[in-house]
Amino acid sequence: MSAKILLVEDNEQNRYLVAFLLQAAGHHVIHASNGRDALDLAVRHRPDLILMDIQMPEMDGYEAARRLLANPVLTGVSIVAVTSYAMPGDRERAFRAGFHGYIEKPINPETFVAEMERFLQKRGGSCENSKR
Amino acid sequence: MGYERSFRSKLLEGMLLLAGGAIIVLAVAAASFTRHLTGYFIANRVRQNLTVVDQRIEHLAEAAVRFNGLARLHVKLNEPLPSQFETIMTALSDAFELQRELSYLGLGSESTGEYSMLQRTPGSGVTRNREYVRIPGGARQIRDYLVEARGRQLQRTLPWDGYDPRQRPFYEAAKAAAKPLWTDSYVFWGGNELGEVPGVSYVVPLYATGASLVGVLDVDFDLFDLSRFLGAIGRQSEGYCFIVEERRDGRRVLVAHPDPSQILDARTRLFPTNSVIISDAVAREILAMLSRSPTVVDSRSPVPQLLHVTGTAYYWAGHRFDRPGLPRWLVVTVVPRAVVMRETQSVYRWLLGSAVGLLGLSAILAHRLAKHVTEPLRQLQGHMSRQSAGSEPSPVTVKGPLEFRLLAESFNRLIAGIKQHRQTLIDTNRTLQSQIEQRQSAEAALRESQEKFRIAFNNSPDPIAITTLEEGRCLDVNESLCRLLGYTREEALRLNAAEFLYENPAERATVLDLLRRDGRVRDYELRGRRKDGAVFESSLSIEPVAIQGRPCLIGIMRDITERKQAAAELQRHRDHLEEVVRERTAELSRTNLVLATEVHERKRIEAELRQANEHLKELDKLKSEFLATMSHELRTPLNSIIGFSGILRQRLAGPLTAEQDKQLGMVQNSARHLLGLINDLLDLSRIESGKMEVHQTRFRVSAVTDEVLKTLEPLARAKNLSLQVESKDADAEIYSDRKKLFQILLNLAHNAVKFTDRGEVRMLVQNSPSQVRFTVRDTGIGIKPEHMALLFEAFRQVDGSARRIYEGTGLGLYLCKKLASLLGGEIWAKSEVGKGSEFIFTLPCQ
Repeated sequence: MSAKILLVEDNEQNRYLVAFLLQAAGHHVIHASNGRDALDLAVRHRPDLILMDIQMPEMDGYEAARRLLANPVLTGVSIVAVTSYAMPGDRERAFRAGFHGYIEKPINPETFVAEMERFLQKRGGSCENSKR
Repeated sequence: MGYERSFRSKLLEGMLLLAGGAIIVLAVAAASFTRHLTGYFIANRVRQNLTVVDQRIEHLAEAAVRFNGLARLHVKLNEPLPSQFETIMTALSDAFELQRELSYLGLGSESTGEYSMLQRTPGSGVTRNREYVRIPGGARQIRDYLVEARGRQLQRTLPWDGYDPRQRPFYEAAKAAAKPLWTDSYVFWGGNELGEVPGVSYVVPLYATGASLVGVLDVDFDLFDLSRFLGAIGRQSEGYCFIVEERRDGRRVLVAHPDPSQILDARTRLFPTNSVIISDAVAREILAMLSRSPTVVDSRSPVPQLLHVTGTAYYWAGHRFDRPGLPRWLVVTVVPRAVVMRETQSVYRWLLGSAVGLLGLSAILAHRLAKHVTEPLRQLQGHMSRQSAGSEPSPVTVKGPLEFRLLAESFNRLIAGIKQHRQTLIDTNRTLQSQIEQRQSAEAALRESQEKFRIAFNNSPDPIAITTLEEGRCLDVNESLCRLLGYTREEALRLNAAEFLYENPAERATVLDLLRRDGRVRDYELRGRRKDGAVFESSLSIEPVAIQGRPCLIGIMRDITERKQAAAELQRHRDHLEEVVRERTAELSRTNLVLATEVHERKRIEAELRQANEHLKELDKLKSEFLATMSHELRTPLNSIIGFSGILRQRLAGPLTAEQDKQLGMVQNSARHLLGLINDLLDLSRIESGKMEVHQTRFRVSAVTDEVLKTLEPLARAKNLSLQVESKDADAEIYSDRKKLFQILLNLAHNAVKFTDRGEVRMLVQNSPSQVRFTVRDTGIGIKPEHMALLFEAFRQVDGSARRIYEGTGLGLYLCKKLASLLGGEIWAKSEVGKGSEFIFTLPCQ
């Protein structure tokens, strides 16, 4: 099943890496390099899943997540943090900000796609529900 | 009269005596009564037997007489007899059938010489009839009939045998007597069937109208039949009856006996001529007695007589029938004395039982009565004996007859009186006691007061004198005064106060004036003079008192010479002190100045310290931020390195040569090593700053070891090593931080796999109630002894050469040790170079 995934990442290499993995698995990837762009693109494209870094210029991931979640158009879309934050409390902080998942970098290229697809399935069900 | 014994025993004795007397009277009465009773029993028993037999005999006689009447009636009705003989016989035979007592009936006709006889066979009850008839033509003929209910059946006819029954003696006797009569008993031939039969006949001559004899009727009784009746009355052992016939010739013949064989002589088949033949000894003896004295039997009142036969005693009595119309028979009844005694004995036994019962009853009654009387007495006595001499007497309750209750009430009134009296005594006693105590305590107080005064007066350090007011005569002086003035007490008591208290005796008047004005004198300073003439400074205080109504004075005189000197000395000291104070004050103000400077300095240092502290905190924050940033910034490129090398090795970006794949693997390993280094550094930083949190949960140890095994299995397989876990208890649980335990074990096991090229790596898990002990044993290169000490330090990979071959951060064991101690555990190692190493790690279960 092919999904539409919004990827928000300021580091170009990392963005390329994740996009490559997702596209290799057959998903459609929309790129954004900061939170502000992500808000625009999310409303425009209505992705099935949003993967977002936290430390970004212009608008960081926490703020972006809060705003994305506040937008009724995006109800039911999962937002997963993909971040280099690995200090104690970072994970909890992300969940408090509204992220539905948290993946620490460096990612494992062998398991990453499978992990993403789990989120798609999980949230896809509730997405269906909310449309009805 | 003595009263040694108890009322109860007296009463019991009395009752028993009374009962004993009653029993004796009863016994005498019973003995007498029993004698009468014996007589009564015998008479009664004899009379019973006689009555039964008499009735039977009278019944027989009546039957005979009735037949007489019947026969005569028929003769009258059927005259003339000869022509009607058959008719009469038929009627009589019918009547005979009904009259079962009779055994024989015969009727003879005078005019024709005919005779008819009916004979009943005892037992079978069959009646036969034989007729001697004259057939027409005058010849005689014998006809035998069988008599049945519906009439006679002719059985046979015989020619006359020449016998004329009318020749029988009784027939002749009846004709001669011309009236009915009883024959003596006789034996006749009852035919082949019956043989000899003893019998007796009642013979009746029958007269036609006009007083001509027409015939003779006779009816017989079978004496065997009567004997059988006697036998049927009762058992012979219980007593029996027999019948004696008293003949006109004076002979006595036994005619009926319960044992029929006694009647006839066995040989002659006739009544015995000699009674000796009779085998019944009792009957034989009575017959003999009757022969000797017929009057031994009094018919009117049969009196039982005692008879001893062959060692056995019998009572017997007889009843004689000597009325006309009855046979001349004497009925004798015999009862063994044992039978009578048996009955009287039961009466005896009853009486004896009654006597014993009476005695027992008397004893019980006596006992109850005695108890009834003695119980209240005992209660009263018991109550009194419980009243011990010293205790409070209490009223008694007696359950019993009225007299005892009245006695108890009297006793209780007496007790109440005693109690009241006693209470009065106790009260009086108590009052007296308290008065005595009061007096004693007052006296003691007085004595004590006097004693206290004496001691106080004599031992007072103040010199005291007691004088009269007016004359100033000394009444008493104490030791201190005597010491002060140098007089003895005796000398002092002879002196006047003015003389020995005052240097100037006139001064006393001044003092007395002061006393009158103020009511007392306090610390009046004056000069005193001792006996030796020495003058001293003194202070006098006077208090007026009344002793036994006389105005007196108590004077206290103190030597104040020393005090005056001391006052002068004090003044000098005071002057000196003021000088010192002045000097000290100046010194203090100098010191103060120095101190103020010091305080200022200290405050400055404190501020500096605070600032340094702030700075340190800032630094700590900076360090944390630095670590976070470093971690973040290093991870970002690492993400690309690991990610892209992974993508390449997965061939997601296109095919690779073997060499490219190998080199990419090296890139990947290096990146992962770097990542491990970063993570270890972060952990260490957290531990050292105390920020490492411990999350304790309960979990199975084997779950963690299995996970370690699973993680390292690919690596071990690649190196061709055996990797195993050994555990005794697979279900053992531990309460600890699972993640950290995993981290430690993985690290140890990973090291073991890493430093081992051949052989095996084993993880041993050993449980004890308090701790779990993990041992990771390998067959690797081992550690040199000199390196053992450095093993658990940071960045110490022990062998420089090893470092080139085996990768490692150098932080692993250091981190393990820190984590272990964070979890309350310990970690240490043993090793032998070339053989292998053993890392031991213990962890508390809780």
